[in-house]
Amino acid sequence: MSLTGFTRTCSLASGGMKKFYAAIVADVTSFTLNSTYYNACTMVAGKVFKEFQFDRDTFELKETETIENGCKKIVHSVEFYISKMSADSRAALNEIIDASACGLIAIVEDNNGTKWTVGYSQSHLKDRALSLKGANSTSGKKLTDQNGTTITLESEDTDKMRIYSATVPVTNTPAVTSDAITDITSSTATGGGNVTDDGELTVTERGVCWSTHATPTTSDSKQAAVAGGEGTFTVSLTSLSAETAYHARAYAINSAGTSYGAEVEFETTA
Amino acid sequence: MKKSKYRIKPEYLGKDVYTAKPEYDRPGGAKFKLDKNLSETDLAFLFEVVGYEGIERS
Repeated sequence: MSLTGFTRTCSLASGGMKKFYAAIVADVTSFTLNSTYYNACTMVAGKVFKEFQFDRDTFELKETETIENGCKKIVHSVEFYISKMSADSRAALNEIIDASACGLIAIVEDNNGTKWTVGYSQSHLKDRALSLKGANSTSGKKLTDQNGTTITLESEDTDKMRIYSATVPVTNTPAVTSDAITDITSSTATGGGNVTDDGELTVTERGVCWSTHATPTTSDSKQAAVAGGEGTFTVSLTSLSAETAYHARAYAINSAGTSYGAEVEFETTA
Repeated sequence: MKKSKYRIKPEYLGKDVYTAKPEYDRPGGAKFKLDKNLSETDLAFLFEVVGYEGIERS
């Protein structure tokens, strides 16, 4: 065996973890390994990872490797400190603690933007999930003391953590495409689109927006379809001015935000 | 209808797979729902570029 060595740039020397995404084991089907990193994640239909963000310098990811009786043992642990007992942080804490009983698979993003999979093993697949090691709450004795809870999730494995290079499965804004405008008269036209992905959230509204300037939004004129949801829809554009050039695009709204399809142009008749 | 060069393995049908965002333009971005609506380009991307285990040559 030989050593290959490595060099690092200063930009890679910053530490700290940025985001923690977690899913319960049953919701994750597998990660796809491409040479040394995972480049895809397969989820049970409609299931996604949940995102947690913590205060700066309160979140740590550890990998400890030991040899026991000639066998390699690697412990992965994730430790958070949630300061102050606000209702929000208690709720987040309880969510993690409750879910960890089922076993968690996590994607942890560090401050360099690198994402690491924890609780999923190429050798043992989902049998090395993260589970709760401890949750210790403390109150300070003095007014200036911090109080809060330290929570530790841990997994024993024989593999090291691997980098995750794909998009993290989280809820997103919808994906929508625009249809060409048809049936154009001096004051009306027909538009439509197709919501091809609801982003795992209910599409509450979809329709077409238009204006005489480029890049129309829902703040301009718009016509919503009769119902939300995925799939194709058609709407009528009314109160248009004769012999006028318009820009239009389909839109779809879920609780993550508003998405737009490609812009289409049309001109009303005389 | 032209027969596809690829097929989704039965045990993967209906699942959602997330990859890096493909270089070609597609409405779903990096998320692929593994069903009959996947285009030949999508199937080729998953099999040839990603090396996805849920797709095989037909």
